[in-house]
Amino acid sequence: MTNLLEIRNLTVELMTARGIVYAISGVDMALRPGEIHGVVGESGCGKSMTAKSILRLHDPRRSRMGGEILFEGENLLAYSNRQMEKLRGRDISMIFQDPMTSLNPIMTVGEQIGEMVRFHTGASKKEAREKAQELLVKVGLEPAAKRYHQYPFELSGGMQQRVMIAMAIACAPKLLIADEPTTALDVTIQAQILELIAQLAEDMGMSVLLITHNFGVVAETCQRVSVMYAGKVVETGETRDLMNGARHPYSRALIESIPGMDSLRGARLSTIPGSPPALFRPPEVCMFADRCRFVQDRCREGYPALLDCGEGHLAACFRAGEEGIYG
Amino acid sequence: MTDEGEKAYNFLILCSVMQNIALSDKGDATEAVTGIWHVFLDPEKTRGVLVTKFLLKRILQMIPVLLAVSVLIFAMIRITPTDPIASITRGKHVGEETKQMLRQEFHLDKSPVEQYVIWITDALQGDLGESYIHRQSVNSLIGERIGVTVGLVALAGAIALLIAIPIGVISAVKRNTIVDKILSVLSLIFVASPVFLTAILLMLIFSLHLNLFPSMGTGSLRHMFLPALALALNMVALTSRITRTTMIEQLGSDYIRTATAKGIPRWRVVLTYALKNALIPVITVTSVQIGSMLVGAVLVETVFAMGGLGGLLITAIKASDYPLVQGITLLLVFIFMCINLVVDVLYAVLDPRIRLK
Repeated sequence: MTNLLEIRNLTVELMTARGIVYAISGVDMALRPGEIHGVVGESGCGKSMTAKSILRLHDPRRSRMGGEILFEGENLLAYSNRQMEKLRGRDISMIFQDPMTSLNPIMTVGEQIGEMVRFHTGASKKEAREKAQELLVKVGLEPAAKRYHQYPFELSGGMQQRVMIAMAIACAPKLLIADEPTTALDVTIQAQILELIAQLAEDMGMSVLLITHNFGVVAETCQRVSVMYAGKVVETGETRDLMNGARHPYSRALIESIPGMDSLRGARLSTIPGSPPALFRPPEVCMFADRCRFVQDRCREGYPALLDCGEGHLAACFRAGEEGIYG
Repeated sequence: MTDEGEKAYNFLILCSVMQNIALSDKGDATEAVTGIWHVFLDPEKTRGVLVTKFLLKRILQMIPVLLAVSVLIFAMIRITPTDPIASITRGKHVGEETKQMLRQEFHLDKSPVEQYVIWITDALQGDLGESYIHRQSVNSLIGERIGVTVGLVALAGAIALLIAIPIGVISAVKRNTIVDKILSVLSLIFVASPVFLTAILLMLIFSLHLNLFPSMGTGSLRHMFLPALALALNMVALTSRITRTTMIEQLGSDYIRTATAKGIPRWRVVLTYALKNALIPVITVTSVQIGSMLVGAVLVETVFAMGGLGGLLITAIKASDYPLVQGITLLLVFIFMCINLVVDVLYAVLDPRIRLK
């Protein structure tokens, strides 16, 4: 099966006042058609950065991108700005973390959805209006005729995120990038939104790249997952395989820190000591070494290559192949 | 129904509406009368009532403010240590008896409170009194000149916005580039040059050397253009800077990122998304500046020898021409308040959060 999206050796460098930040250094990722693929990691590990790179949303004057992003075999990094404008929203669309600020405050939600349809399909105003109301029904915002005329500030956060989703699926894109779509929402709403995304993906045969810092979300929604740390993918594979037998100590620590029934009974929640490194001039060694329980001398001397642990399960750890190190 | 009957009827309706709004916050009575309004302002009928209520409230609020200002104006002109009799007699020496007669004629023999009551009662009926120096009604004096001043300021405001907003938008989109820097230097030059200097320079270049515009007088748009430009250039700097700052802020916000991710073309993102959201602070600054333009107009009117309100006010102050000073000042305050009202309406039109909350 050919991949819908393939990211090859992606690098993103950001020019900041304090120097160049090597935000992404050599990321590889592959997405199959119709698959929901999770990307997990702590804040600042480069997951949102990777997501934004696909649509080229970085300010070109303050960033530099390298590598390849192949969408249906075509390298998006080689596209002209015009070509990107046409592709955005039509073939690949995106929803964001904070729905409260992600919608234009002075346009009705109906106009914002309809505009998308008009720009990409050349539909008339009337057609766009009908389509927008249809989409509102599809994401569960009813009565659609009333919702169409409302402004974002008149809706709750969960409803606003539904509007964002309606907008994102308006042109039936092949790929939806969801950048922490539930982080800013109430826990009860989170589940509804995730369910909606998963349902739509299935109905429309759409792939989803789901960015999250919550392994629990991945376990519920994603078929496959990539774990990122310090601008690199450290482990990737089937969600089931990873949940049952993560080979990278970082993934393992993330999975252990999911609050479960144990923590409800008063058990101490497992955490990872320390915080991710700043990425001004990262040395070519394992960046997780300083926080790793299983660190060895070689971890500080070179960067471990991705080790194949079978069935597309890859982990970037020198000790990934060792049996039984996690006891 | 006769014309006058109809007028009276309309007036009565308006009175009852105002009364209702003044008395209650619910404004139920307004709903019946506001049928025409909401069609213009909001497609959803239920929301029109809010808009109309808001408008009428603001208009009613103007009345106490105007009254307070009238007291202030009245008191302030009387603090100046001059004798109005001198200007009534145009400096000629007259006998005590004549002076007494003049005092009586112009109610100057009465106490200040009585004088105020007489003035404000007449003013409320639309009569601003008679000028001491011109021996003509203040109404007609203002009437002859108001067109020039209001036209000048309105044209200047329009020119200023037409120059400032594009400059601000371009500087924001091209921020920190050479284009942005050139535009900021230009704005700085404009703001640093006093209005009268700009006016003289413009006259020198465009009237004397290029012979494109008349150098003095009034009567046509061509007469108005140079003075309005002189007045406008001064305003361009601040407005364009505000536009730049708010545009940069808006362009960095999340909904702009969403619009880009939607595939909306860049020009549309800049002009309809960012600019529309950036307009509110721009309008605020512009309205304040239009107020100061009323003052700047005095200078420009003098340079270009246009008979406007500015010149009239200056001579009136010099001569302690109480009715004329009071009349013009009250009118300027009223104009300023009307501008503020228009600004408030614009806010509501532009921003649904203001309109509907």
